[in-house]
Amino acid sequence: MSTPSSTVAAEARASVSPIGALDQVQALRRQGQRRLWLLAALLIAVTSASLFIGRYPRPYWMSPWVLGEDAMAQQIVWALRMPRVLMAVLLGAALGGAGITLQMIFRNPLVEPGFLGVSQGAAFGAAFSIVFLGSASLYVQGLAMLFAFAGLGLSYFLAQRLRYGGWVLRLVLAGVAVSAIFSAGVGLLKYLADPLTELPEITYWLLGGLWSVTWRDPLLVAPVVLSSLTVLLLMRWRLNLLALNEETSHSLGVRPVFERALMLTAAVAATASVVAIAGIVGWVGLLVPHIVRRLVGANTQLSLPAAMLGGALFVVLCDDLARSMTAGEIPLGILTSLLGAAGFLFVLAGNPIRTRE
Amino acid sequence: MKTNDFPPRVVSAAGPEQGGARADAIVELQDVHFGYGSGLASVLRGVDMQAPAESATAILGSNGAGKSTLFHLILGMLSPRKGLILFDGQPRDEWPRNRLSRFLALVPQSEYIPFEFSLLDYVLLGRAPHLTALQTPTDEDMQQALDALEMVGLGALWQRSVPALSGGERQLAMLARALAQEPRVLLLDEPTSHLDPSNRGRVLEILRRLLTQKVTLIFTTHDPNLAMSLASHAVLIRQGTVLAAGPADTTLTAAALTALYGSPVEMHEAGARKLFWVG
Amino acid sequence: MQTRLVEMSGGTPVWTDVADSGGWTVVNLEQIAAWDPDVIVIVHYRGDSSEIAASLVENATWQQLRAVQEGRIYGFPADFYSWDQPDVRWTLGLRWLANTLHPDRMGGFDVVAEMQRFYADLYGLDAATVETTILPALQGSVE
Repeated sequence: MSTPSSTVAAEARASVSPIGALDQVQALRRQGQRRLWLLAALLIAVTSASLFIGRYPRPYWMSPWVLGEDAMAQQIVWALRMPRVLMAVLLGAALGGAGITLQMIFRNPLVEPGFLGVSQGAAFGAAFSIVFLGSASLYVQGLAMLFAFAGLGLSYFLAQRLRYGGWVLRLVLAGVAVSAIFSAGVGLLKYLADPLTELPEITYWLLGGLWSVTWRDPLLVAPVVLSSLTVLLLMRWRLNLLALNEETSHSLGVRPVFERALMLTAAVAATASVVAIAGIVGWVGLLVPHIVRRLVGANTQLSLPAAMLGGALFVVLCDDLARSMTAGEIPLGILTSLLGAAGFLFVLAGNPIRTRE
Repeated sequence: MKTNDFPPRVVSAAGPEQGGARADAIVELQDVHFGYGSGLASVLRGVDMQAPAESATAILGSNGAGKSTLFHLILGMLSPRKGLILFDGQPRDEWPRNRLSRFLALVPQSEYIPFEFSLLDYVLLGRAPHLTALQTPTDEDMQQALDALEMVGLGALWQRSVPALSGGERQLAMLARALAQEPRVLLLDEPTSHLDPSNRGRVLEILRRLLTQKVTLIFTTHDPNLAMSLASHAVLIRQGTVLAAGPADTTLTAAALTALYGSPVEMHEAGARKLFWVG
Repeated sequence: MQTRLVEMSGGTPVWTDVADSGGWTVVNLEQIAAWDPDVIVIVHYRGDSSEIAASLVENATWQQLRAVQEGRIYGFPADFYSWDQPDVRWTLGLRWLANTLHPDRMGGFDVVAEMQRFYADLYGLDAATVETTILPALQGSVE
């Protein structure tokens, strides 16, 4: 049995169909895919090059030949730079992927992964650990992750209780409130902290950075980050549907509540894991989706993987600067915010972003 | 060519006072009650209606009469407190979600799209019911989307970004997306209320063409003239109850419409056409 | 403070080009490797700095540093408070550091004797009190 409207479609095809329209569509899609591969190749090239960027044996660049003869150089590349660069890749991919996912789910291009109390929750957890449990990295990271999820959970719970506005607005309001509560908590902990030992640690953590990364860190978070990103990648086309009106997505067979919760959890899990290690690294999840949408279009079939690749590229480059520009470490969060905000203004000036009128 | 397996028709257990399920009613509501929250206030109280297959049914009522709630119930976003909703004679709870979305498509009144989707990508989303959660659209899906765009006359604009379209073009884009679903029933929420006369004419022409292609239309409207010109059946809803229902030419009368809107409605005959004048 | 201590002890701090703003600065290990210092002194405010120094000697990457290979990594001493901080104990810290950097020129440094003298002169504590209350708290690379 042929369905009625495919008959209609067939008729339309016979009467007016532009010859080769499908070819053009395919050509355009191939172009987008090529850009994606290009981005992937660029990421691999930059990541590999980053292993030779640093302060040893002299600032900025280490010739690969040094590696053959200098045991220190081998140690630095293997034990310091490689885990750190890998961590930067995970961090960037998680923030970029989570950023575009949250923007689609909240139907708002100005949302970022730190949203919904996630970042402030993590900050509170880390500060709490530094002040009360000591600065052992396991405690700091564990508590940061715990409170990142607590931030999300609390926002979700509050959103369900609020009696104002639609689902998205309620979540936004709850997220703002939860973030404010946690940042007040961080303020209080800073006040309590020992200015000689604990306060600098909290400050450094809040600024974000990867200088203490060893092999343990990327290996610790990789399972969570990679599985979350895999969920997002598998559902990358489906994500588009969540950006539609609720009634439309419903009529298209989406189970909005379930699918939204699934993708939201994946995005936040990835963010919480990397934030627990790197501290607050802002603007990546906001800026990168905007750039990749310019590059490959809004369709998340391409723009979601592009956001992961682009985020990784951006963070690896920023961290290269952070660890090699001066003899002292520059906090990564400062660099991403500086470059991110500047880039955002640049993108914004090029083409205005639509917000809800 | 895709084929859809539709559930076998079963004889509905409707009470004799409803005259049983009409054999040709593709969408049917039986004594549907609904209210938000657990309070006593009801939005819909005992709504009975039938939409005959392969024809157009108009739902008329003032703002707040319960038309949107009715659509949300049919779509399954809400569940009735009491009563049955039947598609093809089978209760909607028994329909799997994916098959339902191949059976029924929605054209919303308007849709806010914050991202610069291309028109083709946007219409392609209508193929979701034909794909599993992890699949991405195939070439055939793209061809279907292109055909749907062609059908509404936007074939040449497939690369255009959706937020850059005019209001009329966006209405047509939403219609094309619904057509890409290959549905048997199309729900349209105020399909022409935002449109200027020329776009209105375009939409009406497409809808008439769909009727000849055996698609069932159910639409809400504030305009009795639109109902009269497009629909064969009409349902008048006032304050959550059905005021009148039946064939359009006998249901849409000056008296019934005056009672519906609470303000005087006159009917004028111009040749074979009936024109309503409100106020 | 630490910069002054090192300079007064006859050492050359490697970090002067980054620490011009005052306060602590974070550097990464490869920068330390690039500086290639003769001596590394660990300061730790929440425990025994010599334990940290010992754990770094075990670390494969730190073992590549010349200072570690030559056994010249030390924990800065502390009793109830680290001796590198701006209180009077910094004089003890200074003497320790000078001896650590230039043992040949200091002609022997007996930390217990120094402490006894220091606490007797400045706090009027007798030898027994120092022995029972302060010496147990002594940490760092001291014998």
